[in-house]
Amino acid sequence: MSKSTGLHYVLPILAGRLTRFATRLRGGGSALPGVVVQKLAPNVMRDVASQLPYGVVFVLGSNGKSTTTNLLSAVMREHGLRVFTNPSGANMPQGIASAILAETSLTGRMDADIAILEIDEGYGAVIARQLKPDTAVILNLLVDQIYRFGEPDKVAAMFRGIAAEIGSSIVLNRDDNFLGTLGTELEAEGRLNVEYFGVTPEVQASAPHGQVSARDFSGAAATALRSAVAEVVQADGYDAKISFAGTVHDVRMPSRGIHYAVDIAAAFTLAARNLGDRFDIAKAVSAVQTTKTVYGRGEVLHVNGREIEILMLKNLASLQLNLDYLEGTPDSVLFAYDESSKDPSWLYAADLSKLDHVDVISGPKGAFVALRLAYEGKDFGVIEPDVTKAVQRMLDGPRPKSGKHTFFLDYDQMMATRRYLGYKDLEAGAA
Amino acid sequence: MSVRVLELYPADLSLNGDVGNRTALVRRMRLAGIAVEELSYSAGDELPETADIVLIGTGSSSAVRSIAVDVDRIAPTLRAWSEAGVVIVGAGAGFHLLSTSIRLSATEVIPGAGVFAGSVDNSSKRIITEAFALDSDFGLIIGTENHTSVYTGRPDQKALGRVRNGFGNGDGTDGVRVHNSIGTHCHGPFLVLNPIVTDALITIAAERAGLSYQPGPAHADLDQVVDLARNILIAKLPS
Repeated sequence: MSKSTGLHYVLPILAGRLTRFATRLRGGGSALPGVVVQKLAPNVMRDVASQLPYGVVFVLGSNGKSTTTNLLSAVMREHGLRVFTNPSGANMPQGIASAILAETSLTGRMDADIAILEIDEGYGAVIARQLKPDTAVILNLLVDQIYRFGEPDKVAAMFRGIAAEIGSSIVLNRDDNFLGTLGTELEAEGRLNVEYFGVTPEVQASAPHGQVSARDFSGAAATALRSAVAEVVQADGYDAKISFAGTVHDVRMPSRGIHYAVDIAAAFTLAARNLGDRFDIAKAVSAVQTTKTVYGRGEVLHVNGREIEILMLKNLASLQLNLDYLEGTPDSVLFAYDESSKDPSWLYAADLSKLDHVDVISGPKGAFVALRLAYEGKDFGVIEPDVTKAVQRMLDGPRPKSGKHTFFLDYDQMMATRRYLGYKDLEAGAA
Repeated sequence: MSVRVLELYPADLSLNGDVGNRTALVRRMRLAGIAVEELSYSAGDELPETADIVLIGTGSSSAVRSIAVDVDRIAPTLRAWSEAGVVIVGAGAGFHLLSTSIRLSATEVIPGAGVFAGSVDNSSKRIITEAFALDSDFGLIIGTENHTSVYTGRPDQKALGRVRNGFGNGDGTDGVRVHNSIGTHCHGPFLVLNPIVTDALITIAAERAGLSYQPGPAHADLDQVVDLARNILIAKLPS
């Protein structure tokens, strides 16, 4: 390993740092420094990653990557590990390279025990070939980004390709249609250690729309009931019960819903696999309970004595699950939809019965949300395409009886909203 | 008296919010005071005796493959309904399943229902057009296309329209119109974004059911919102 690090990285890393500095000054994105380093020393990523005693972990899936990366990092830190992780959303090759660069010394060393990285499915195999992850967790395969991927089967093929690059272990959502099939294939192949997390059939049945898992038509559906390392036995609002090694643990979750509980079960399963005998479930529960939500994912902001809860509006599953686990009918609602979210036709598959009205609709494609509500015969107050004006309109309006505004925000609208409300902590890190 | 709307394979062919086509039809009819009966059909079910409007939506190749045998089973009824003037709307995979045959790969061809005389090669490269636009007898049709197919129609069957932006059937046209049946690659959903088509089809179906469809002020309000959404896509069309 000593020959792979050292002086020959000084120049490329310095060049990357300079680029990083220059793009910061310009106020630009953080992906370019990664490009520069990659050009100058293409093996830098692999060599830096290979020094980590607990290796590299990939966190994959349609939804929940940022949340699970955050939870898993907290669990590992609670066990005394120094964790390197990529900023939420910086999950494509150059964003990851930039993040690694920022934490790497001029001689190509990183002050960490483990790298926990959320990874975009479309680039996962490429990144895996560079970073040689030992373990991976795949959270779910949902109907997501059809405009980009065409059909869910394509994403299943991507996950299969990524799994082929994983070194030793993979942790899968037992109750996901496509991932159940992938687990069967990987078990038959026998190269990887395959473990599962899941929810009990009762929890699955009591969820209003289950986990909104995409249909797998291949006919290879897993029929055998596999055992799960960590299993959600109850998910009710913020309270979950998770069974691990024969004992049920109460977990007060940072946010609500079956999807959040499943992400926690995934983090427990992966941490137990990676830490082996060092894993302490009490520490893991404590870490999860004291973790803050990732920004914009069930995050509650406090503005002028009012609460604003931000829920993601990314695809059918995120909208539906966030609706399903609302506490009652929200009395003050904003929806904002991105220009970069192509093809909002999936909105028609959503069950909006949890809403009785929306106050303000925003974002460049807000009209598509308005049309969905209009066809449903639900009231929406106004359409204000500029999200900062829309947010201000909500704040200028009467204080909601509940004291809480509920914002359903697409990614860019969420970033703009947080910035507008003075939450500028993302400016440095996000790609 | 009511208008019966039948959605075929809603659990299988629903990749792009296809239930929205039903939502649009039902909402517009109810706003005009027309009673609607909503029915769903899944593989293995018995088809109802009759239907006034039949919908079949978009889906993955694997979904098409999995229901092909069942489509073949109900094909004679679907052809008879179409010939009798029942309104049938197929989008994407649903359109393909109503054609005569679908090539899924170099070695795999499955039969379609034969409502439309053309055939589909579904093994081409993926085409995605955010603002997919057709000039049709109805007017400007707009939505999104996302498929891997070339549709080769028969000269005696009219296309739905000429492609203004996008790929469509692959020959400058998109879709097909036979009797009161329509196939198209347009989704968004199709009948949500194109009320000019939706109203024309409701008018036909209502008349066949002995009813009259008169859109009113509530429809005009709805269409103002439709136009806001349509205009976002229209603004993306090359000038």
